[in-house]
Amino acid sequence: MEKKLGVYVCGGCGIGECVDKERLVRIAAEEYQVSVVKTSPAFCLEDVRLIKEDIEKEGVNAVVIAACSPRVNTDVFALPSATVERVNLREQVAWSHPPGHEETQSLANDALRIGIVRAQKTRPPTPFTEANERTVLVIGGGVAGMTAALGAARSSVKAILVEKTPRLGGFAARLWKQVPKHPPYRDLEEPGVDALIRETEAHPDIQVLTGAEVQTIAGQPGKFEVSIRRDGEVRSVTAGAVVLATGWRPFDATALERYGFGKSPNVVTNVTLEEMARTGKLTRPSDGKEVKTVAILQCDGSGDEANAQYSASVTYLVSLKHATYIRERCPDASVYVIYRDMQTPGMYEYFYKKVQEDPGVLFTRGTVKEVLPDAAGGLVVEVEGSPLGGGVRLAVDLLVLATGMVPVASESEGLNLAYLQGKGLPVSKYGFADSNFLCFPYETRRTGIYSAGCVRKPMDLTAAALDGSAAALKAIQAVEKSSAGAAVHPRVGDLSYPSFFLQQCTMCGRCSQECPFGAIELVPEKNTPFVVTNRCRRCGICMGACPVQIISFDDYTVDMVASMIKAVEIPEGDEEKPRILVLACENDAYPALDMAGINRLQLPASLRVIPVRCLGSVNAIMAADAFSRGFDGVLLLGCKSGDDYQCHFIKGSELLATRMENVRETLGRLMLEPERATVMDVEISGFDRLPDRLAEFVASIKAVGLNPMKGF
Amino acid sequence: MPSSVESHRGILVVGGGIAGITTAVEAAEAGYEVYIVEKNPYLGGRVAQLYKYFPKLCPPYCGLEINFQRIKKEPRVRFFTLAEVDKIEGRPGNFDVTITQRPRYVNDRCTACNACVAVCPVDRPNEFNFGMGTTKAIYLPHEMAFPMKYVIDDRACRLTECAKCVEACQYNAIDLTMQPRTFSLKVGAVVLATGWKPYDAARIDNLGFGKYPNVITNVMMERLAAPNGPTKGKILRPSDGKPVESAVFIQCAGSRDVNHLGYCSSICCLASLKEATYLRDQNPSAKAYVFYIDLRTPGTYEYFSQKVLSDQNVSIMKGKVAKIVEDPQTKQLTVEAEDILGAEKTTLTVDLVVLATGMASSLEGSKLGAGVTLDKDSFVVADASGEGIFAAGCARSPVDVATATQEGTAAALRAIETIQIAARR
Amino acid sequence: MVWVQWGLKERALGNSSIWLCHQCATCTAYCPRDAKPASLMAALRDYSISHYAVPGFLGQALGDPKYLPLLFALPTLIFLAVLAWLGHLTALPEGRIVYSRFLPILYIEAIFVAAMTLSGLAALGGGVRYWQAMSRQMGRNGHGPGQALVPTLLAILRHRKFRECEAHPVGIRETYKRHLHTTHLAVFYGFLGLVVTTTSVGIGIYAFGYLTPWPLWHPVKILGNVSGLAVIGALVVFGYRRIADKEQAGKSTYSDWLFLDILLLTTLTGFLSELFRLADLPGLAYPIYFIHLDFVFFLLVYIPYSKFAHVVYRTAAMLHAASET
Repeated sequence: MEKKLGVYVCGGCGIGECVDKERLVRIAAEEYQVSVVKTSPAFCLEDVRLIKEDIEKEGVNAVVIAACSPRVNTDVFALPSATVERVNLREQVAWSHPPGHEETQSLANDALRIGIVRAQKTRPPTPFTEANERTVLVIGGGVAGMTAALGAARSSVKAILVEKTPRLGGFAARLWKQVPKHPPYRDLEEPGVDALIRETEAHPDIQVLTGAEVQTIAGQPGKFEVSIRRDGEVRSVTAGAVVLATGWRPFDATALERYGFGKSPNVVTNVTLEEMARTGKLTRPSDGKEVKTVAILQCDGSGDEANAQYSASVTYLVSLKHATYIRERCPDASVYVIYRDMQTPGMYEYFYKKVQEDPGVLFTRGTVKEVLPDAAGGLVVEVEGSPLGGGVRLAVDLLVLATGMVPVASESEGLNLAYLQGKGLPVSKYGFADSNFLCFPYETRRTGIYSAGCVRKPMDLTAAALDGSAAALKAIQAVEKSSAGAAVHPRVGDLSYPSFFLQQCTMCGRCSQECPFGAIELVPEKNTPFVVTNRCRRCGICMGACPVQIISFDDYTVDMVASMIKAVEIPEGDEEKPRILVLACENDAYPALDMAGINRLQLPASLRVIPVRCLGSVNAIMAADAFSRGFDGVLLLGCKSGDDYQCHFIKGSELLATRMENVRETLGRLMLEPERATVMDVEISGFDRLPDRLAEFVASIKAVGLNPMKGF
Repeated sequence: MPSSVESHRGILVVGGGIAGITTAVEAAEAGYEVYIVEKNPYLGGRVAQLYKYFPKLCPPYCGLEINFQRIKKEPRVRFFTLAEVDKIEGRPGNFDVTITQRPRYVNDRCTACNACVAVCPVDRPNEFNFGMGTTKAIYLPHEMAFPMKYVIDDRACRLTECAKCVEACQYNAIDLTMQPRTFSLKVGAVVLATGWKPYDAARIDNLGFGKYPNVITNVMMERLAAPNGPTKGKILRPSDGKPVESAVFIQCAGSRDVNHLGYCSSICCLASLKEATYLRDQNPSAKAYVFYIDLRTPGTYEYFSQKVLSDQNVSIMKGKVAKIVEDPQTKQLTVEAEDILGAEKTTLTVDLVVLATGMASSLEGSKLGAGVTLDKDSFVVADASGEGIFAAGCARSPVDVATATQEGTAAALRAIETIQIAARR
Repeated sequence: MVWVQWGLKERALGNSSIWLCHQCATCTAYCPRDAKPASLMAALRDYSISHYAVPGFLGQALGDPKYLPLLFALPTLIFLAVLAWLGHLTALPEGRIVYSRFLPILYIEAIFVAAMTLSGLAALGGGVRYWQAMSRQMGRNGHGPGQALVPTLLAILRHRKFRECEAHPVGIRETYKRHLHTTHLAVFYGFLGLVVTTTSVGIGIYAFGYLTPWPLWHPVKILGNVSGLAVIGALVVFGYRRIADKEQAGKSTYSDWLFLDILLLTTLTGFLSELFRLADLPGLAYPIYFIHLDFVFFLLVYIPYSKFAHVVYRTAAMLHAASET
């Protein structure tokens, strides 16, 4: 279908007072031969009707609205039968630049040019809708897994539950009691796992496969090809999404030999104590004597790096529970709890208080210096650093080591993904599935695969059940979106996906390596890339990675960005009018620029801002091109990278930073100063310092002088 | 369909903070209609008032922005600001909810051009900044407010008696005769994500809040450090506006305390460590001291605490603060506490004292009575509450953001389960 | 508190804090766990008195109501024996009521000097044992109590510590703490006044032959009466507040009440003796005087074992604390 543009220049909110609208109208009409160009004092109000009329009557199908930021009035300007490009004349021009100034006008002119070019180049995407299996595969039959399977089934989505052991229940089935979860949060409760097992096994929409393991998972959301081995037989199933709930393993206590573990049978782990309580044998392992004095050592925190430090909030509760077990079983027993910082957040504080009130449970902060056998067959535990003062020596029958919880590594078991990038979920430096874990805890780096329960982070049964529900929801969502060919978070609903102009592919494989989501595979032997569409999050990092720029989306292409860069008018040889290309991450940096405008902070007029999906989608060649086009500097505004990355696509800004090395090299070859291309971390709330930081960059460009390649 | 088996696919989410927003977008993206009812004139809740999140020290608006984009793109999410739920009646699959929406006095025509503020003659205390500073009676709650629409505070505005803003508005966006409206919705399930409020620090009578200007609360510290706060992000002493050189953070100020909040708010230790970094980032010579009972750093937050404490200028002391004395001239504060590990009394004289006050349930004294079981601290007892009514985030118990988003997502599924089960009946 | 929980008796009892505490109950008011540390401290003080008592069994006896008759029996028997020997058991002295005719001052002095020497030694013994325990548990820095003596005594005379309790009152608990300073001050100086009165009377008799009873207008007599009234007044307040404030200050123990009652009854019987003497009612006056003497004996001789021992232990603790710094 032929493209017909309509350009709408708004004069409201101070735009009319700041820039000459007629100039903008002329640019659209004369430079770009747009036949439908209109102005209004406020297009967002009644006059949106004008745009709608043009779409209906004039056949306009690509609308350029030069008004406020695309971040506002999204609903007003959502016009179903046309593509809509927004040119930000309000926040980033009128509100952040002096009115009536020549440079302000040329900024507005260029912004409109960029918008028109973008509208010309964009194509409505055709969604991929061939993967629409709805069944959810749940791996792991513990509380998290069972809750996930039930959550899907109750929500009218079928589930297959694969459990490695012969029966469901997971670790919860090995518990004697669980910590209080109901007011007044003082008394231990039944784990209640039997009822959950019964419901799971009875649900007609859940297929339970115990004694089974997932052998491989290939494919994508909406169409995961899963092979499951059970009783020596391998069966194939198709699943729409996967919940990984493989749980945890106890920390290997052999590393805690210095507390006597392995040396005396009377030094046991909390897992063993749970077992002792459940089987009713709270006796001294060495001689079967009833235990009268027990020390529980909470090995946690910086003082004890040998243990899994991140599970203290669960293991503390377990220790309090164990103290209660012992006191309930033997009312004349004494329990000593040696700890660093009591981790009983939330309502668990009431449980702690309850245990504290028991005169038979004695707490002290401190560390264990030494554990030695005593003459009576017990142990002497020497505690140091106690506020009780001096060294404290405890003669006990049993020492319980509160060992930590280690997540089952998905790389080595459970998932077995047939992905080029590896078998498991990529993990953060702490060993848990990598994600933006604060805001979007379930968004792993393997689209359609969600982790839940203790494999995601250490948690108690209540939290594991919630986690199972949450992961099931994400799985249902993945199924819904995949069948519509739409992206999931964070570009939810995006129908575009990358395509490759393979004739020019050098088969370097970089796209498949750099994709943070493992969405690009290589054809075996030929090594040509292809996108596994529903794994794709549409960030465009592959587009930035490709050294020959053969990757593009329907509505986001290398050519489009290059043309937008070209659209900017470069003044020749005016020292006061440098031109700086700003490629800004649309998630954080772009809103920060808006925020500066809302606060009426002044931005340098020499910047030409092009929003990008992610800094990772910026190709080194794009930046280098800008210099050959005569730009004096290129500024890349994006999110923080590193361990505490803020990139919505995890790796984007980090990858860009390495690519910038190439850009600087290119600059060197062009005899240009490398500092002309700079990456800047911009947080969304960093708008206050942004004007100064930008002005500094402009000043530094002015200091090195104009780009000598101008006009070539 | 006869009304006795009528069921609805909609989900009511009470509260538009991080937990409520998460519930709403997650449910909507799975294909369900959602209504958010929010008391404030904007969505975002408490996290909108935070400068940074621990442990990544990243801005909450980064995640909120994404979520707002999701709402903007998702027609299945509808929201009502300045609205509160009067009552919830009915049963799973078929709830009747009555909602009252207070007048905003500014309609959807508002373009956020700011012309009204320039002419408004009335100031009001800035609630968003916990009373530090003022705004005009017509105001934008904050620059990242969603929806980006102005609002009039009718406790301050003289309404039709003044009407200067009406004249100034070119877009006919102001209607000073707007009245409260009550309406009802039919939904299949309800998620309470009503969140929390800071515990009233003035009730802790030995720590001087409300008496000494340089004793502030942790939430006030967030606003002091935020670039859109009352001091434009500079941490200054309230008494004289001088940069803060030293600060004491008092943990469990009114928490884990039978006289105040009996529970632990679970985030305050980390929040104080985080706020210590705010101070340290601004001032290379500043010193921060944290008095605590137990340093609670659940999960991998342990590593955050290790990182902050590796700074020589951030020190922690185990002990409860007994009292604070103000020097009437300098307004410096002397904090007296017992250092338990050092087994001695310790005193420190500092510029600023930050009370790590806990999170109290917003449901305290709520009229959302029917079908909702609250514990003695006014948190929702989730599985004891009526079938089809769920809770997420700080409506359930005091939690951090990661847990609130987890529970929000989980509550979305539980609501969907309810709807599906009711539909099959 | 934690020491007690852990059963570390020596450490708890050898600490000066238990006696430095003046029971302002701020700790109980603010305790986040509702653990009532003030009550614990009070109990520890009771316990430490009997723990350090010389001889130990007297310490036990004062802490247990069942030994109360026995404890009263001792002075009663002594005085009865003297009266029997004087023949006053069968016939009261004739004429104007003069108590020294009933029981000559010399006899009383002799009994009291003898008994109080013993009890003084016992008190000293207890104090020394406590001091040694403190030195053991808390360490010593080489300073003796000498340097700290004067400031400590001044602090006691000024009741400085009680003032500190008053310095940071807490809401509704204010009433409890405000009275502590004034009331204890009244008892303290009232009791001192009575001691001065008694001493002056002794000096009057032996040095100047100035025989009792002295006229009511006599300054020493006035001092005695005013002091007595101050003590009674303060004790009534104490008693009332112990009941009224039991939520805040913690429940009162047997030894609290015993000490309070004995002190009150001693003063009351003293006044009654005076009143009955003035009213010229020998049938009432002499028995009351007898009872009065009993109480005085109880009060003074059992000092090291009753709550009155706080004069020894608290002073020791304050001295120890002061000599540490």
